[in-house]
Amino acid sequence: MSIYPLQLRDLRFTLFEHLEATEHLGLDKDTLDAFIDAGATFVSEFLQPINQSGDQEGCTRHEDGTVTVAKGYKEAYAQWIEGEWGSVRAPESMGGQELPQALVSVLDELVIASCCAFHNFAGLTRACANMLSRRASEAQQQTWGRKLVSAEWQGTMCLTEAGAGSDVGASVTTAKHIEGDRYLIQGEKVFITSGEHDLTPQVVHMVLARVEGDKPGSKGLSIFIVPKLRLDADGNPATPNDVFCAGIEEKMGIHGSVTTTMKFGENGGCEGYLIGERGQGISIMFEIMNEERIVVGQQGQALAASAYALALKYAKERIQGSSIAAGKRITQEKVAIIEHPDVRRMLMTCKAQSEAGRALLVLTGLLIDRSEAAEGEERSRLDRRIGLLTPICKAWGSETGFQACTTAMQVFGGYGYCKEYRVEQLVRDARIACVYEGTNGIQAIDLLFRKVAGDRGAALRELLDEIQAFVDQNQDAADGRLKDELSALAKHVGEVHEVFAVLAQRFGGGDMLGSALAATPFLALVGNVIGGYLLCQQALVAEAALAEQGAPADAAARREWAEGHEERSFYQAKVETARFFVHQLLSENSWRAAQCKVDDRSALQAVI
Amino acid sequence: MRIFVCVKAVPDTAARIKVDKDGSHIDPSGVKFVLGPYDARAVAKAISLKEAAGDGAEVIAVSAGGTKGERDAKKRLKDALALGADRGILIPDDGCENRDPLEVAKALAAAIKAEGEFSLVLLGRTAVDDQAMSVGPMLGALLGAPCVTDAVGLEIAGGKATVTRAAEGRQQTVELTLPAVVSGQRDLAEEKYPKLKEILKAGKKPIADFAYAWTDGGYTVTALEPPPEPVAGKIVGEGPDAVPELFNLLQNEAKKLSF
Repeated sequence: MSIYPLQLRDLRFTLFEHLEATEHLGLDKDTLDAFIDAGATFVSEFLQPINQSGDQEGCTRHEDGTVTVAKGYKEAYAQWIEGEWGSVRAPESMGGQELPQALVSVLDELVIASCCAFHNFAGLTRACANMLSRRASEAQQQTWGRKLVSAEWQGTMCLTEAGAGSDVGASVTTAKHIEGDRYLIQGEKVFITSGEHDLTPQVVHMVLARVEGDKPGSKGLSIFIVPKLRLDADGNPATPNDVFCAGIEEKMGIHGSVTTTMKFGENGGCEGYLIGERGQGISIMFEIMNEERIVVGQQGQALAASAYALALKYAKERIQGSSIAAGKRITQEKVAIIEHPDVRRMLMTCKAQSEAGRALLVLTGLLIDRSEAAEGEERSRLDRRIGLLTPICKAWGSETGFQACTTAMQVFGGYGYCKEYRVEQLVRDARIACVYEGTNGIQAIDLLFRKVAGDRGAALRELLDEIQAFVDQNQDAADGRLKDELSALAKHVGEVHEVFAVLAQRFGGGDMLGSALAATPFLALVGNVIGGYLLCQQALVAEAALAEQGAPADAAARREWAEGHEERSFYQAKVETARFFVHQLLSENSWRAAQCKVDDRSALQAVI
Repeated sequence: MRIFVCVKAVPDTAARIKVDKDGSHIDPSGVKFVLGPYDARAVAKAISLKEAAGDGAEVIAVSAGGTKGERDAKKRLKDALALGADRGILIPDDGCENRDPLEVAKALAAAIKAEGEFSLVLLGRTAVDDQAMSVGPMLGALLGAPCVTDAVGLEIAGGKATVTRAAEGRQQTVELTLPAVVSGQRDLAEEKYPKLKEILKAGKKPIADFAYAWTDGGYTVTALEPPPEPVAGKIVGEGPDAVPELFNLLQNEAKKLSF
């Protein structure tokens, strides 16, 4: 029995009807359906029951440095391994299933929506395995990679140090060459997700360290496989490798996930194995980072979907107040709060944000799949687009996702602030997504400086032209019922062009500080336009389905026609969701554009 | 060893079922269909018997049912294939709802006979939608094989099946000479979840159509009524003082106590 109704109908709509994934993925619809059903069963049976209890119990560190996870996690994790869910993406040569990234997005939403903390164990291991499949030696892939693919061992990424957070180049962890790919590692890493726990017998850390004599800064960093336990001749974890968990963080949320401080080589006995060449540390670590950035955006989106589902259910059940349609008169008849316009506004905000996020993440997955199959100019075009979308998935996905969670909490009134109603956990769990894997501020800089200014706006223009072409082509589609929304979308496309022109001038004139000030509103500006674009595409698909089912043209008649019919109302609401997004959320862009364009240096000038 | 498992697509037990306007069918819109929960255990048991038997053993899933939308029996056959069955047989029947159980048993028997030899036919004790509980025994009669219902344990050795049944208030052990038909309880096997690899493989496993000429008549469902809406609960008081009133209400109003 599911605790959160999973949004399977909209997932299927996005995958099959909107993005027509079966055309791109080489898998038939029945198989994809079976995948979704099995994933939904897994999360309902094993993850939803441990979400709240794991939040309350958290992880426990003992004096000897070992960590115990919350009750129920071990059983769930055993099922994760048994069902082979960890191996979705890795190549067959490492025991993986080589499934498309679009399906990973679908699976991730189900898992995160059910238990975000659990995903932190599983998702990170997968990202490490995928990186090894591309960058590690054959021997390393067989020794370490296979066990990460099967999820029998945990993978981690160790970048951050107390003095090297967003500035990772300041890292002071050292590596001393022994022989071959073997090095002695020494240093301390902080904020290490899943660095130590009892879910798996082995933890395999991917550690950034500087080989003695290599240059300072991020370009002098190398990356090493550093296991918790060294292996015996048969490849089984055997003897301690001088890796110690010195502490765990008391966090605001994701309590089921353990965040550790790891000491490597405190006693001079920690061995690590170089991946790739010396000095490639950052570029290799970024392979995990880029994958995780998309995952973290999905955390925002999936938690928003859960929060929406909870709020919608509550709003339909909670009877409070009379209908506002009666004016000031207090009537005898009390109504469910979903009848109140402001509650509907909040619910639609959550719905629109979580559905736009879903579309963006599944789309990005599909683009990754298409890029892998493409060559030449087509491949570079797709990679440009993926590069542009990655910081938007991460920052826009987490930001709007968190907003949706707090909006959903508001629907509950005072009860939402209380643990029993579960939505406050989602707010706490979602908040970290705005921070880790590169703060949203870093993402905004990545977007503006590297992905947009870096190619003189080419990737951005390609996207904006595509949206404009979509608007031009569909002005009269669905008997012009979405004309207003498409015109508004086009207006906001124009606005992005204008803002980019202003910022290009600022950037070109060497005003880096002034440009950086605009980075965050600029990311929101672009994210919102993409959200509007995707939901308008979905609205047109929904309009076609409505026409096929004989829906009346008139809005009021259509509402009545759809009422009480699950399929009809699904499509009817899809159209209204696009309208709502364009008029209520995308309209925020006028303000965002003003923030970007204004020559306001107060934040830089103020002596604070 | 060749094991047939008969499976049925049924509405998810968590689904809210509404009766269609005609008053004798369910309204399938928005209702999710799943592999019958008892059937799923029968499939799990068949797979473990096959694994124990080793090379040459085969599990064939058979379903008589719809071909469209959510009621599509082929999807449920794929569920059985994802759990480890080797191949499927679909007996298309778009009028499957309210179908005479005898007709269903005849169709299944025909499909199984057409395959030649069999060692065992397994099925769930009942389909959770119509709960007729009769296809298993009728199938035994039609196949001329001994049949045991409500199995909670099943072992195969030396051409015989030893079946443990949960009979009311006692447990019974029955020995059957193969081939035999066994309908299983929930406890016949542990719940099995499909592995990812098997889900993907299931898409490529064969499902053959078996045509059966369905006939109507003899058995007609004339009305289907949902259970009454539950009435609101009542708190009659607190502590031992409330017991006499509770007793009174249970006996005289709810009529749940009688002596």
